[in-house]
Amino acid sequence: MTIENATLAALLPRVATGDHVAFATLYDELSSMVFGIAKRVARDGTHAEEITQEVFVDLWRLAARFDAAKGNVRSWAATIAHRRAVDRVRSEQAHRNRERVDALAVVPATSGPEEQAVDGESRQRAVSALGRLSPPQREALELAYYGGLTHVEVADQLGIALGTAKTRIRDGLLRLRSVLREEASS
Amino acid sequence: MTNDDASDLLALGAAGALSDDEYDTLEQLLAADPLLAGEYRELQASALVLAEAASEAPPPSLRASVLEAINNVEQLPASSTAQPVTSEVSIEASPADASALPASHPHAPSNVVPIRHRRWMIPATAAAAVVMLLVAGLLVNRFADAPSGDRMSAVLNDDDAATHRLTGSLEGLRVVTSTDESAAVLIGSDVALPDPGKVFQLWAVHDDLMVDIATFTPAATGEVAILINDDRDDAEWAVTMEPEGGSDQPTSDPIAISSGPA
Repeated sequence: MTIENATLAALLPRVATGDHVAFATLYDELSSMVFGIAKRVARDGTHAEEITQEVFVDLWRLAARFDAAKGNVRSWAATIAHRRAVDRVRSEQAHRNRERVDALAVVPATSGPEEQAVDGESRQRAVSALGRLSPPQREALELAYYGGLTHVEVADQLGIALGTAKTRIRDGLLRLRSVLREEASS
Repeated sequence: MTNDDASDLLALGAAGALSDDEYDTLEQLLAADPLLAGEYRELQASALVLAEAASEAPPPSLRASVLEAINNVEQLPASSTAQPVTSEVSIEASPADASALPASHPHAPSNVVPIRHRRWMIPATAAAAVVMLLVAGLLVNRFADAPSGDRMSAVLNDDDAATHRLTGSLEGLRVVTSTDESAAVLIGSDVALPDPGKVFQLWAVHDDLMVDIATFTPAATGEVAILINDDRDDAEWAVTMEPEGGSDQPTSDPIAISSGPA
């Protein structure tokens, strides 16, 4: 079970003072998400480990700069992880022309035993939320987020009009926001 | 920009689906409008669903590696003013040891980390032919264990230090030279990343000679902080983009150059 964002945010001031125990707790809470993003985007376990380490070094260094009033820790960490993973993919692409789409696994409807053992509750909620998107919305969002593609590249990849790609991504994200609001109010 | 355009920009940005230039536009928009910044944060939280759905347990051994990795990493203060920085700050910094300096992007609210960095565009600038002067090992400070944070602080706080601002496509970079400390610091924020597979290379310019000083890659947050064990106060400074590992001599025109101390 994950700890709440407020509790997670409370760890940051401790981390900022050099508290290694608090940092270890932060790692335990966020490492599955960070590693998962890195692996999904980079599509390479070794790179994912390196990216994960980079992200946590960032979190350690920048802990004092985190402002809980302006966001939550998970979003912050996810944004850093996603950015680093996309940067890594770009860097790798400079060396070899990769086929991006083949490895783009759609988030499975069910997870394996190992994944279920990790942070299963929040992951299942997330997978469930994604399941409420229309297939075109989900496809466009996943290409953008996991594939590191711009909306222009998503349009090219799917062979659809640019406006359509933008609409699918935007509406998909707004749908996710709506789902989260429903969950919060229930 | 219409409201629809702004809404698109926010959503696409939160989904990681903007080009680098579009992210620049987004950051300016967020800086100018706190309400939009709030909406953007909410959309980022929605995009968190994608992150959570990808969750996967890392190898158990990674935990020890990460906890070990931070042992020698200096933490940054809460303020974003130019302060001494980590002793690990990077010459040829890899992402792992890059000087992830302040998250405070000048155009973005706290915690709003641009997902993409601006992709570097080499301007078609004309430049005089240059001649490389190799002074092997003399200038490049590959300090691994020096108390560079203190040294950087001394340089930056030296009342007699001279600041050389670089202009061109890497605005925000400056070289601060201190004759008292016999050192200089290359420092900057919001600096774009080089193209994939490339690094930036700093050169000291003496007349028509360009002397290799260091290669560097900005940290993920766009910050740069490099201690240079030579003040070179009579030099001008230039930056080129070079293949990884740097070049013995510039392979491209300077993309940023100083015009003497301020």
